Amino acid sequence: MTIEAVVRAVTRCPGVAAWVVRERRLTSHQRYRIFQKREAERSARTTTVEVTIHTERRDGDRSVLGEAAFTLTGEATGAAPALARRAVAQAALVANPPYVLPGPSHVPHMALRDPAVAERPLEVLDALEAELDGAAGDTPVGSSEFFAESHEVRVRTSGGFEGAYAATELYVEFALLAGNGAEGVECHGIRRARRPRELDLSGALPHHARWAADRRGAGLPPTGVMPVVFSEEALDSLFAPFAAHGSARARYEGWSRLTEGKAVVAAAADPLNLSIDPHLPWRLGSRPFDAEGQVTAPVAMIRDGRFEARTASKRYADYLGLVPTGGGGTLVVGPGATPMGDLLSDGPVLHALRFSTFHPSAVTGAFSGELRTAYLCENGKVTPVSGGSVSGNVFEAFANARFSRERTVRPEYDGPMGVRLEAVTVAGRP
Amino acid sequence: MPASPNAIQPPLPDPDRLIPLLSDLVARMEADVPYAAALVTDERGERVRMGTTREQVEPVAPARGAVFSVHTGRTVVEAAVDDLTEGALTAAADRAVAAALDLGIDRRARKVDPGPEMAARFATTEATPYDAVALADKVDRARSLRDRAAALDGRVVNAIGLIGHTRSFEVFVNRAKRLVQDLKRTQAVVSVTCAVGTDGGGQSAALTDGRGRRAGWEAVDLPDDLVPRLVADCTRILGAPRLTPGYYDCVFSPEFAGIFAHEAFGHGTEADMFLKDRSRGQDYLGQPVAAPIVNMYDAPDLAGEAGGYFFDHEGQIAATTQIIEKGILVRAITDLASAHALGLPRTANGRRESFARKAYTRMSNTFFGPGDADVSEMLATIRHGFYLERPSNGMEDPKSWGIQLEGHMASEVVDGKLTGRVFSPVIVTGYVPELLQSITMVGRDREITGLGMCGKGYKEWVKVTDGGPHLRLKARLA
Repeated sequence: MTIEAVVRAVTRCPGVAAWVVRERRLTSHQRYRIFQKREAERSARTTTVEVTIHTERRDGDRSVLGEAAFTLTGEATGAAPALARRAVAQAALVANPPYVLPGPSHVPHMALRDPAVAERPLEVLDALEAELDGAAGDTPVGSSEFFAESHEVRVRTSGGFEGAYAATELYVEFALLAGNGAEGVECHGIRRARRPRELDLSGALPHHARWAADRRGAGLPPTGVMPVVFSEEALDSLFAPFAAHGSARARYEGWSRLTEGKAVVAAAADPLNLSIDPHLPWRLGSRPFDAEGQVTAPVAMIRDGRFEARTASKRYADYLGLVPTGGGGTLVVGPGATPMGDLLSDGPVLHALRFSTFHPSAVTGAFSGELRTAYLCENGKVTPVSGGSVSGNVFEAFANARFSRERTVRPEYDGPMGVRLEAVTVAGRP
Repeated sequence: MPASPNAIQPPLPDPDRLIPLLSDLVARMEADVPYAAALVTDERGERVRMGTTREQVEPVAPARGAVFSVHTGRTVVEAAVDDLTEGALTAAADRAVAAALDLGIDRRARKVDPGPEMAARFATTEATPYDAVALADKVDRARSLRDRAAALDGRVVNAIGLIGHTRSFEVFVNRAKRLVQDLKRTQAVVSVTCAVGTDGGGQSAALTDGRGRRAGWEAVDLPDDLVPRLVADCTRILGAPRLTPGYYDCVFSPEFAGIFAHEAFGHGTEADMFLKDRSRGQDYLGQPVAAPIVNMYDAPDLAGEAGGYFFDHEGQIAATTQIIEKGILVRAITDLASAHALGLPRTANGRRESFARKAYTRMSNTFFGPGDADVSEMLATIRHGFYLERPSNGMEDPKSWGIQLEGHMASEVVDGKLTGRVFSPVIVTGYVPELLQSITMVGRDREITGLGMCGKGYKEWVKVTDGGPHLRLKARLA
């Protein structure tokens, strides 16, 4: 299957006013282990071509955009002309405000593809297996999964955009065990990166082994409203509501609570500085252009606690008269002035590292999470706690937030190692 | 106007071509390896999504391909390919065998049982075939759901009506079985976002509801009160406070009971987690884990429910598994590898996200069995507590039996009556057996809404459903 054949079919189809064609090729090598025994070894190769077509029509005195999409897989290129005709018929059924697809643009080069992962994936998996076993030391690894994947992406639009990039991705999932029977606990971990260096299993595994050991016998936290310092996995989604409300889509749909030039929270100890950067080398969130062929651009969204600019796909940028920035990117948060140790010293304070799952609502900002790995810091004493929950609302809880001076880099986050929120509800011991 | 999404799409795989070819390939593979199997899947469908700010008619991303599996005696080796031509299938089968031989064959290992000889073809029954309905009618139905929701309250800033349909056509072949199934799942969903005073502050809330079934167009008929209740509840949680953390007497709605069943002893009895020593359930088989009035099931053969199927992705014919019987944990759910390794009975729970992903032990339709209480009787026994409904997500740790259930809405109950005060959102945390043993009443009703998806850990998404009757229990809420 070739993208050129699909483009030919779409351009020759009557009624198509504009189009985007995206080709994605994926090669995936997967290894699964139970303890140190290989449970399964897999390889998979897939190719998909996704097509979006636009049509134009009048509805009274307004212009209306019709749109429809279809996807081809494997050997199915021959179906493209018939699918394009069907897409035109489908597009006549929907009515959206018009916008213009991206045109020609310089595609920035980015370091996203590791040659070793792309060309010698099985050797890389062997090395990662050995690194994981070495780093786990005496801590049993109940299960582990290793993925080495290569992606090739090409996008063309009717407006003249043409771009391609290649990227690699490593995924390692593991469960470290501590204790036996009813006393047994695990610490589950996921590492993702574009190359082994950033995956850093040697650096990460000892932490997980310690967290597994600390969960044994860990009791519930106290109940009440108290300061909580979020770090590690807890940081991955803590800022997501700001990014969601800072999007052009949220503004267009009428639920963004952020207004240009206004403070994002009522009071701030450390002013929030937040940007979305799709250009950082080797980051999983980085990409030169998005699925519509819009070349990406960094966005300084919140500066000194005030909302400044929105991320915007080409669609919503056109709807709102904004500069398009494309989608995706690493969430970059400015550091504070306080050492991490000081954030944890003014206790009692709960240090929350890992949750069962933690996804603040993008719309409301409300968050809740069951604590898997946490520590109660009080009078110089650090006590492991587990179970119970923390809850609150990001937009309220960030009043008086303080950020650590030290930074940490996670797959799609680059910012302070710790974020202290002063008044978070903790539900634990009766 | 074309009526169906399949009319012009590539034709479905032809089982009359594939079965002889796959049978030959499996036989050829088994000349070198102890057990081989082939699975072809073709998943397709469409989404008709009519929103206030954007309308879309688009296909579900198709996944069409084959996977060849080899058991070496020690390891499962697989090769997957998205090209169903004879040459590509032969190459993938050869690739799987070559990789297996590289790893080595253990001829002394216990042989994998291919099951009884069987050739069968199964298909979903549709009262009104989805593909026979004109696309324009689907668009109209989705718009009418959207427009009805949007017109009910001025605070609705975005409403979406969604009609969704997937078709999974699957062919499984090993040396004993030649199976074909054609699964059709249809759903109607409504989402609303409400907001007031958003500029520089204000409040916003969002809720979704709907129904999904293993059925045709008839599945898009929603209960009359679903949309008005959805919009009313969304406006009720707009700006609602959170409740004071503590241990409370609760009544779980059937939906909330469903997510509880799924997280508690759905994930807790997946036998592949036993193999990895990642589940405490293996130490409790045959022991009490819940109140004696509690029964729990996983039923891929439950008629019409969207998480079901006729056979799993490893060729096991669907049948109901009772997981908890009168409070006793009686049986685990298994996939081929875990049942083989642990000597447990096989259940039809070996499932894959797609041909390109591994099979694991996965749930299907998971639910609590009914009891004999009425919800009004349950509420009448509560002096101060909450009625929990509209769950949003959950997570369980099968190794420690910790659980997290989140929901959008907790309605206060005082002296047996709902006070009208609503708190949002709400989180339930606790120790699974403690929660299950605190169940004192089980409703006689049972509801399965059919909208769920489930990940293994944090990936590998498959279609599941869950549900149950109302439950009365005690839980830690925040």
